[in-house]
Amino acid sequence: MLEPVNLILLIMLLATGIAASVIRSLLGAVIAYSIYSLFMCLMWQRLQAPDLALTEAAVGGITTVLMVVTIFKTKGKVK
Amino acid sequence: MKKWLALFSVGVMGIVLVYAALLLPPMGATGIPTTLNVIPHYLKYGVTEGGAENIVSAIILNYRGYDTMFETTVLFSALIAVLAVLKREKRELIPPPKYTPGDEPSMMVRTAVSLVLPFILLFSINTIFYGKYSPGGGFQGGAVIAAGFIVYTIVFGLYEATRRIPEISRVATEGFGPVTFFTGGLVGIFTGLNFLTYTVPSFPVPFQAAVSTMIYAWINIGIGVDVAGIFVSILFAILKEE
Repeated sequence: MLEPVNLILLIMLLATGIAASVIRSLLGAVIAYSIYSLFMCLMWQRLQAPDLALTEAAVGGITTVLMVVTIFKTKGKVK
Repeated sequence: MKKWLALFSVGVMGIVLVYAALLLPPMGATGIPTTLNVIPHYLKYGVTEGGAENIVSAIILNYRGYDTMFETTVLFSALIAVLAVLKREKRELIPPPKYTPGDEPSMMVRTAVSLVLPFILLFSINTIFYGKYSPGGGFQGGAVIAAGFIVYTIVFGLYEATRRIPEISRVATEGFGPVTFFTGGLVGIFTGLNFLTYTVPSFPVPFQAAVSTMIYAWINIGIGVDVAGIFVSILFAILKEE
């Protein structure tokens, strides 16, 4: 019932989602989040929602850039 | 004590959410209101009522037009919030980039971006204009434009980017989405129909299709330009030196 591609995508979604919240380094967390957003984009395509896949691909990249810029502007201070 | 209280409340919330998720109908279920009424109606009347061959486009711009219209104002208020905190960048305060020999930005990256950027923008224009027929539309195209400009800004620096995309060219675009929605929606009111109607049955048939295509293009351009201007302005506001 569950296709292997979907299974891989779901496992990677879980793994990257958990990684984004567990990783201590802010830059690492943002990178994990951007990978999550890429897998989510593939998942939207698998769920036959190409409109959402396009949005996810573009907006995921833009938010990653915005967050990386913010981290460098604040020198990556946690507190 | 505080930690246990937090854990308890998060746990209760999690259990409630999982319980609610289990009550949802499974994917592709039959016999629920969505598959009985909503989807057949969209598939049967979506093209004639919505006026767009891409049913998703007809849904987000016609059946749920108000939702999309006020989403553009939500984006605009997000920009206002960012600018209230960070202020807009000032062109004359941005120093020109000084590169020490051996530390210049890579020529390969700059050449690759210069070559690829026109194609990114071309793809985004294609996405915006064909939103009526194929996956895509104003928001997706605008986000792709913004992504292209953001790549350009990162590689060539803020000084060069604010020269190419000056503030005056963005100010006009940032509130353009709601403007096109209101003007495009007025077509329905002036022909005696509802606000945000795309197909006018009283027009002759070939003219009718042209009018619906033009309203779709107008509104999609509005959303796309709006999204691109807002994202680029937010990036510039964050990037500028204090």
